[in-house]
Amino acid sequence: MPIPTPSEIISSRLERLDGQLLQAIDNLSEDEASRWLAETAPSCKWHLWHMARWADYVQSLLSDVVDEHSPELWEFTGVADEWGFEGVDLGMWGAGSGLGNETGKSLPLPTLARVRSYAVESFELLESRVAKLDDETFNAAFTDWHDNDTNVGDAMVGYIAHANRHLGMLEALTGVLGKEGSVTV
Amino acid sequence: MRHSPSGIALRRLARVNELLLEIVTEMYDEQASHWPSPTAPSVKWHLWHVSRWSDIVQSALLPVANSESDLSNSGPELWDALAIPDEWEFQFQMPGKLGTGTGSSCTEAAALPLPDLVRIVGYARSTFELCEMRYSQIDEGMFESDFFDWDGVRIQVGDAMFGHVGHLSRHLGMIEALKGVLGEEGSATG
Repeated sequence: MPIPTPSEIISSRLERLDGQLLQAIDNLSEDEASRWLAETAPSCKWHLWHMARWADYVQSLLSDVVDEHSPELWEFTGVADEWGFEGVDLGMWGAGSGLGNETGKSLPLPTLARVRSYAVESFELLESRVAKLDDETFNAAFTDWHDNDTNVGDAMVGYIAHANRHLGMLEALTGVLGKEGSVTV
Repeated sequence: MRHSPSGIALRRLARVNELLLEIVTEMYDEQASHWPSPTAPSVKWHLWHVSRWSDIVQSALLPVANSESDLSNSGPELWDALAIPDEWEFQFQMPGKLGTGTGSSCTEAAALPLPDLVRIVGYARSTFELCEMRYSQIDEGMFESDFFDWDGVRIQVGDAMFGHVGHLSRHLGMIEALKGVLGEEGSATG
Protein backbone atom coordinates (compact mmCIF):
# COMPACT_ATOMS: atom_id res chain seq x y z
CA MET A 1 0.00 0.00 0.00
CA PRO A 2 1.51 3.39 -0.94
CA ILE A 3 2.27 5.78 1.89
CA PRO A 4 -0.42 8.48 2.02
CA THR A 5 0.84 12.00 1.60
CA PRO A 6 -0.05 14.64 4.23
CA SER A 7 -2.66 16.10 1.85
CA GLU A 8 -4.23 12.66 1.36
CA ILE A 9 -4.38 12.19 5.14
CA ILE A 10 -6.14 15.54 5.53
CA SER A 11 -8.55 14.74 2.72
CA SER A 12 -9.48 11.39 4.23
CA ARG A 13 -9.90 12.83 7.74
CA LEU A 14 -12.06 15.67 6.44
CA GLU A 15 -14.43 13.27 4.67
CA ARG A 16 -14.80 11.15 7.79
CA LEU A 17 -15.40 14.21 9.95
CA ASP A 18 -18.09 15.61 7.64
CA GLY A 19 -19.86 12.26 7.74
CA GLN A 20 -19.75 12.29 11.55
CA LEU A 21 -21.18 15.82 11.71
CA LEU A 22 -24.15 14.79 9.57
CA GLN A 23 -24.61 11.55 11.48
CA ALA A 24 -24.69 13.44 14.79
CA ILE A 25 -27.49 15.69 13.55
CA ASP A 26 -29.46 12.85 11.96
CA ASN A 27 -30.23 11.45 15.43
CA LEU A 28 -32.24 14.54 16.29
CA SER A 29 -35.75 15.80 15.67
CA GLU A 30 -36.35 19.38 14.54
CA ASP A 31 -37.32 20.36 18.07
CA GLU A 32 -34.27 18.75 19.65
CA ALA A 33 -31.91 20.24 17.09
CA SER A 34 -33.35 23.74 17.52
CA ARG A 35 -33.30 23.80 21.32
CA TRP A 36 -30.89 26.01 23.25
CA LEU A 37 -30.28 24.12 26.50
CA ALA A 38 -29.12 27.35 28.17
CA GLU A 39 -28.61 30.93 27.03
CA THR A 40 -24.93 30.04 26.74
CA ALA A 41 -25.41 26.77 24.84
CA PRO A 42 -26.22 27.23 21.15
CA SER A 43 -28.45 24.63 19.52
CA CYS A 44 -27.21 21.71 17.45
CA LYS A 45 -28.76 23.39 14.40
CA TRP A 46 -26.70 26.48 15.12
CA HIS A 47 -23.52 24.37 15.26
CA LEU A 48 -24.36 22.67 11.97
CA TRP A 49 -25.06 26.01 10.29
CA HIS A 50 -21.77 27.37 11.66
CA MET A 51 -19.87 24.39 10.27
CA ALA A 52 -21.61 24.73 6.92
CA ARG A 53 -20.72 28.43 6.75
CA TRP A 54 -17.10 27.66 7.62
CA ALA A 55 -16.85 24.97 4.98
CA ASP A 56 -18.33 27.34 2.41
CA TYR A 57 -15.98 30.17 3.39
CA VAL A 58 -12.91 27.90 3.26
CA GLN A 59 -13.88 26.21 -0.02
CA SER A 60 -14.00 29.65 -1.60
CA LEU A 61 -10.56 30.54 -0.21
CA LEU A 62 -9.11 27.21 -1.36
CA SER A 63 -10.61 27.56 -4.82
CA ASP A 64 -7.91 30.16 -5.52
CA VAL A 65 -5.24 27.60 -4.63
CA VAL A 66 -6.48 24.52 -6.48
CA ASP A 67 -8.83 25.89 -9.11
CA GLU A 68 -10.31 29.08 -10.43
CA HIS A 69 -11.83 31.44 -7.90
CA SER A 70 -15.28 30.38 -6.87
CA PRO A 71 -17.60 32.42 -4.63
CA GLU A 72 -19.39 31.14 -1.55
CA LEU A 73 -22.59 29.19 -2.13
CA TRP A 74 -24.16 31.31 0.61
CA GLU A 75 -24.25 34.35 -1.68
CA PHE A 76 -23.80 32.80 -5.11
CA THR A 77 -26.72 30.38 -4.94
CA GLY A 78 -28.88 32.81 -2.99
CA VAL A 79 -29.06 30.86 0.28
CA ALA A 80 -28.73 34.05 2.35
CA ASP A 81 -31.60 35.70 0.44
CA GLU A 82 -33.81 32.65 0.53
CA TRP A 83 -33.44 32.33 4.31
CA GLY A 84 -33.94 36.03 5.00
CA PHE A 85 -30.38 36.71 6.14
CA GLU A 86 -29.91 39.96 4.23
CA GLY A 87 -28.39 42.57 6.54
CA VAL A 88 -28.06 40.13 9.45
CA ASP A 89 -24.82 40.33 11.45
CA LEU A 90 -23.02 37.03 10.93
CA GLY A 91 -19.89 37.75 12.95
CA MET A 92 -16.36 37.16 11.76
CA TRP A 93 -15.93 35.80 8.24
CA GLY A 94 -19.72 35.79 7.99
CA ALA A 95 -19.64 32.40 9.65
CA GLY A 96 -21.01 33.13 13.11
CA SER A 97 -17.64 33.23 14.89
CA GLY A 98 -17.48 35.64 17.80
CA LEU A 99 -21.13 36.49 17.34
CA GLY A 100 -22.10 36.19 20.99
CA ASN A 101 -24.95 34.06 22.28
CA GLU A 102 -27.69 36.68 22.14
CA THR A 103 -27.11 37.50 18.47
CA GLY A 104 -26.43 33.84 17.70
CA LYS A 105 -29.81 32.87 19.10
CA SER A 106 -31.61 35.52 17.05
CA LEU A 107 -30.45 34.17 13.69
CA PRO A 108 -33.42 33.24 11.48
CA LEU A 109 -32.31 29.66 10.85
CA PRO A 110 -34.74 27.66 8.70
CA THR A 111 -35.69 24.02 9.24
CA LEU A 112 -33.05 21.45 10.06
CA ALA A 113 -33.54 19.81 6.66
CA ARG A 114 -32.61 23.02 4.86
CA VAL A 115 -29.59 23.69 7.05
CA ARG A 116 -28.50 20.09 6.50
CA SER A 117 -28.88 20.44 2.76
CA TYR A 118 -26.68 23.55 2.72
CA ALA A 119 -24.16 21.73 4.94
CA VAL A 120 -24.01 18.77 2.56
CA GLU A 121 -23.33 21.06 -0.42
CA SER A 122 -20.66 23.07 1.40
CA PHE A 123 -18.97 19.97 2.82
CA GLU A 124 -18.86 18.28 -0.59
CA LEU A 125 -17.44 21.35 -2.26
CA LEU A 126 -14.74 21.73 0.38
CA GLU A 127 -13.91 18.03 0.16
CA SER A 128 -13.49 18.35 -3.61
CA ARG A 129 -11.09 21.30 -3.15
CA VAL A 130 -9.05 19.48 -0.50
CA ALA A 131 -8.89 16.33 -2.63
CA LYS A 132 -7.06 18.39 -5.26
CA LEU A 133 -4.25 19.41 -2.89
CA ASP A 134 -0.87 17.90 -3.67
CA ASP A 135 2.53 18.29 -2.00
CA GLU A 136 3.13 21.62 -3.70
CA THR A 137 -0.21 23.20 -2.85
CA PHE A 138 -0.18 21.67 0.67
CA ASN A 139 3.05 23.55 1.32
CA ALA A 140 2.02 26.71 -0.56
CA ALA A 141 2.14 29.99 1.35
CA PHE A 142 -1.29 30.95 2.67
CA THR A 143 -2.62 33.81 4.76
CA ASP A 144 -5.24 32.24 6.96
CA TRP A 145 -8.45 33.70 8.40
CA HIS A 146 -6.55 35.05 11.40
CA ASP A 147 -4.18 36.86 9.03
CA ASN A 148 -1.37 34.49 9.99
CA ASP A 149 1.17 33.77 7.30
CA THR A 150 1.31 30.01 7.18
CA ASN A 151 0.86 27.28 4.59
CA VAL A 152 -2.27 25.64 3.20
CA GLY A 153 -1.65 22.36 5.05
CA ASP A 154 -1.39 24.03 8.45
CA ALA A 155 -4.55 26.04 7.83
CA MET A 156 -6.45 22.90 6.86
CA VAL A 157 -5.31 21.00 9.97
CA GLY A 158 -6.54 24.02 11.95
CA TYR A 159 -9.86 23.88 10.10
CA ILE A 160 -10.25 20.18 10.98
CA ALA A 161 -9.42 20.83 14.65
CA HIS A 162 -12.10 23.54 14.74
CA ALA A 163 -14.67 21.29 13.07
CA ASN A 164 -13.83 18.49 15.51
CA ARG A 165 -14.54 20.88 18.38
CA HIS A 166 -18.00 21.56 16.99
CA LEU A 167 -18.58 17.85 16.37
CA GLY A 168 -17.79 17.34 20.06
CA MET A 169 -20.23 20.11 20.99
CA LEU A 170 -22.96 18.43 18.93
CA GLU A 171 -22.25 15.10 20.59
CA ALA A 172 -22.22 16.54 24.10
CA LEU A 173 -25.50 18.38 23.51
CA THR A 174 -27.02 15.19 22.11
CA GLY A 175 -25.97 13.45 25.32
CA VAL A 176 -27.53 16.19 27.45
CA LEU A 177 -30.74 15.71 25.47
CA GLY A 178 -30.73 12.16 26.83
CA LYS A 179 -29.62 10.38 23.68
CA GLU A 180 -26.87 7.85 23.52
CA GLY A 181 -24.13 9.52 21.57
CA SER A 182 -20.53 8.80 20.90
CA VAL A 183 -19.29 10.81 23.86
CA THR A 184 -17.03 8.03 25.04
CA VAL A 185 -15.21 7.90 21.69
CA MET B 1 6.07 30.79 7.31
CA ARG B 2 6.14 27.21 6.06
CA HIS B 3 5.39 24.55 8.64
CA SER B 4 6.46 20.97 7.99
CA PRO B 5 3.73 18.33 8.47
CA SER B 6 5.30 17.14 11.74
CA GLY B 7 5.66 20.77 12.85
CA ILE B 8 1.98 21.33 12.07
CA ALA B 9 1.00 18.32 14.20
CA LEU B 10 3.11 19.57 17.12
CA ARG B 11 1.83 23.13 17.07
CA ARG B 12 -1.80 22.01 16.77
CA LEU B 13 -1.34 19.51 19.61
CA ALA B 14 0.21 22.20 21.82
CA ARG B 15 -2.72 24.50 21.08
CA VAL B 16 -5.46 22.00 21.91
CA ASN B 17 -3.62 20.94 25.09
CA GLU B 18 -3.36 24.58 26.14
CA LEU B 19 -7.07 25.16 25.54
CA LEU B 20 -8.04 22.01 27.45
CA LEU B 21 -6.06 23.09 30.51
CA GLU B 22 -7.30 26.66 30.25
CA ILE B 23 -10.99 25.74 30.16
CA VAL B 24 -10.91 23.30 33.08
CA THR B 25 -8.88 25.52 35.38
CA GLU B 26 -11.70 28.06 35.15
CA MET B 27 -14.12 25.55 36.69
CA TYR B 28 -14.99 24.50 40.21
CA ASP B 29 -14.75 20.84 41.15
CA GLU B 30 -18.53 20.64 41.57
CA GLN B 31 -19.18 22.03 38.08
CA ALA B 32 -16.58 19.77 36.52
CA SER B 33 -18.02 16.69 38.27
CA HIS B 34 -21.60 17.32 37.22
CA TRP B 35 -23.32 14.97 34.76
CA PRO B 36 -26.10 17.05 33.13
CA SER B 37 -27.86 13.81 32.20
CA PRO B 38 -27.04 10.08 32.48
CA THR B 39 -25.91 10.19 28.83
CA ALA B 40 -23.64 13.22 29.21
CA PRO B 41 -20.36 12.52 31.01
CA SER B 42 -18.87 15.23 33.19
CA VAL B 43 -16.10 17.62 32.23
CA LYS B 44 -13.87 15.75 34.66
CA TRP B 45 -14.54 12.49 32.87
CA HIS B 46 -13.58 14.06 29.52
CA LEU B 47 -10.35 15.45 30.97
CA TRP B 48 -9.44 12.08 32.48
CA HIS B 49 -10.21 10.41 29.13
CA VAL B 50 -8.03 12.74 27.03
CA SER B 51 -5.26 12.43 29.61
CA ARG B 52 -5.38 8.65 29.40
CA TRP B 53 -5.22 8.84 25.61
CA SER B 54 -2.32 11.29 25.70
CA ASP B 55 -0.52 8.80 27.94
CA ILE B 56 -1.24 5.93 25.52
CA VAL B 57 -0.11 7.99 22.52
CA GLN B 58 3.16 9.14 24.12
CA SER B 59 3.84 5.54 25.05
CA ALA B 60 3.14 4.27 21.52
CA LEU B 61 5.29 6.98 19.94
CA LEU B 62 8.31 6.34 22.16
CA PRO B 63 9.92 3.65 19.94
CA VAL B 64 9.33 5.83 16.88
CA ALA B 65 10.89 8.86 18.55
CA ASN B 66 13.85 6.72 19.65
CA SER B 67 14.23 5.25 16.13
CA GLU B 68 13.99 1.74 17.54
CA SER B 69 14.05 -1.13 15.09
CA ASP B 70 10.98 -2.84 16.57
CA LEU B 71 8.12 -0.35 16.49
CA SER B 72 5.61 -2.82 17.87
CA ASN B 73 6.84 -2.16 21.41
CA SER B 74 5.48 0.69 23.51
CA GLY B 75 7.11 2.72 26.21
CA PRO B 76 5.82 2.99 29.77
CA GLU B 77 2.70 4.93 30.62
CA LEU B 78 2.86 7.60 33.31
CA TRP B 79 -0.31 6.02 34.70
CA ASP B 80 1.76 3.01 35.79
CA ALA B 81 5.18 4.61 36.16
CA LEU B 82 3.84 7.16 38.65
CA ALA B 83 1.56 4.60 40.33
CA ILE B 84 -1.47 6.80 39.76
CA PRO B 85 -3.98 3.93 40.19
CA ASP B 86 -2.60 3.37 43.71
CA GLU B 87 -2.65 7.06 44.51
CA TRP B 88 -6.24 7.39 43.29
CA GLU B 89 -7.23 4.04 44.87
CA PHE B 90 -8.28 2.57 41.54
CA GLN B 91 -8.38 -1.09 42.54
CA PHE B 92 -10.36 -2.44 39.61
CA GLN B 93 -10.14 -3.14 35.92
CA MET B 94 -10.07 0.15 34.06
CA PRO B 95 -13.02 0.52 31.68
CA GLY B 96 -12.92 0.72 27.90
CA LYS B 97 -10.24 0.20 25.31
CA LEU B 98 -6.74 0.20 26.82
CA GLY B 99 -8.22 1.51 30.05
CA THR B 100 -9.06 4.87 28.48
CA GLY B 101 -12.84 4.71 28.77
CA THR B 102 -13.27 4.51 24.99
CA GLY B 103 -16.28 2.40 24.10
CA SER B 104 -17.44 2.07 27.70
CA SER B 105 -21.07 2.66 28.50
CA CYS B 106 -22.25 5.78 30.28
CA THR B 107 -23.12 3.61 33.28
CA GLU B 108 -19.55 2.35 33.49
CA ALA B 109 -18.21 5.88 32.96
CA ALA B 110 -20.41 7.29 35.73
CA ALA B 111 -19.22 4.59 38.13
CA LEU B 112 -15.58 5.62 37.76
CA PRO B 113 -14.49 7.07 41.14
CA LEU B 114 -12.48 9.98 39.77
CA PRO B 115 -10.52 12.05 42.29
CA ASP B 116 -10.82 15.82 42.59
CA LEU B 117 -10.25 18.00 39.55
CA VAL B 118 -6.85 19.26 40.70
CA ARG B 119 -5.40 15.76 40.64
CA ILE B 120 -6.77 15.03 37.18
CA VAL B 121 -5.38 18.35 35.92
CA GLY B 122 -1.99 17.31 37.31
CA TYR B 123 -2.10 14.00 35.41
CA ALA B 124 -3.34 15.82 32.29
CA ARG B 125 -0.52 18.36 32.44
CA SER B 126 2.12 15.62 32.70
CA THR B 127 0.75 13.49 29.87
CA PHE B 128 0.21 16.51 27.60
CA GLU B 129 3.81 17.66 28.11
CA LEU B 130 5.21 14.21 27.47
CA CYS B 131 3.10 13.76 24.36
CA GLU B 132 4.26 17.13 23.03
CA MET B 133 7.84 16.05 23.67
CA ARG B 134 7.31 12.87 21.63
CA TYR B 135 5.77 14.89 18.79
CA SER B 136 8.75 17.27 18.85
CA GLN B 137 11.13 14.33 18.42
CA ILE B 138 9.46 13.12 15.25
CA ASP B 139 11.07 14.42 12.08
CA GLU B 140 9.79 14.26 8.52
CA GLY B 141 11.24 10.81 7.87
CA MET B 142 9.62 9.34 10.99
CA PHE B 143 6.38 11.15 10.19
CA GLU B 144 6.11 9.25 6.92
CA SER B 145 7.07 5.89 8.40
CA ASP B 146 4.46 3.43 9.57
CA PHE B 147 4.03 1.71 12.92
CA PHE B 148 1.51 -0.29 14.91
CA ASP B 149 -0.82 2.17 16.55
CA TRP B 150 -2.87 1.73 19.72
CA ASP B 151 -5.40 -0.37 17.83
CA GLY B 152 -2.61 -2.67 16.63
CA VAL B 153 -3.21 -1.32 13.14
CA ARG B 154 -0.31 -0.58 10.83
CA ILE B 155 -0.72 3.10 10.05
CA GLN B 156 1.42 6.04 9.06
CA VAL B 157 2.85 7.84 12.08
CA GLY B 158 1.71 11.23 10.74
CA ASP B 159 -1.85 10.02 10.26
CA ALA B 160 -1.94 8.80 13.86
CA MET B 161 -0.52 12.12 15.10
CA PHE B 162 -3.16 14.14 13.26
CA GLY B 163 -5.81 11.71 14.47
CA HIS B 164 -4.87 12.28 18.11
CA VAL B 165 -5.15 16.06 17.65
CA GLY B 166 -8.60 15.59 16.11
CA HIS B 167 -9.75 13.34 18.95
CA LEU B 168 -8.59 15.80 21.61
CA SER B 169 -10.27 18.68 19.75
CA ARG B 170 -13.52 16.73 19.78
CA HIS B 171 -13.41 16.32 23.56
CA LEU B 172 -12.41 19.97 23.98
CA GLY B 173 -15.64 20.79 22.13
CA MET B 174 -17.62 18.50 24.45
CA ILE B 175 -16.19 20.31 27.48
CA GLU B 176 -16.99 23.70 25.92
CA ALA B 177 -20.58 22.65 25.26
CA LEU B 178 -21.00 21.30 28.81
CA LYS B 179 -19.65 24.56 30.19
CA GLY B 180 -22.24 26.39 28.11
CA VAL B 181 -25.01 24.11 29.43
CA LEU B 182 -23.86 25.02 32.96
CA GLY B 183 -24.60 28.64 32.08
CA GLU B 184 -20.98 29.69 31.74
CA GLU B 185 -19.71 31.74 28.83
CA GLY B 186 -17.50 29.49 26.75
CA SER B 187 -16.27 29.58 23.23
CA ALA B 188 -19.27 27.78 21.83
CA THR B 189 -19.74 30.37 19.12
CA GLY B 190 -16.02 30.29 18.36
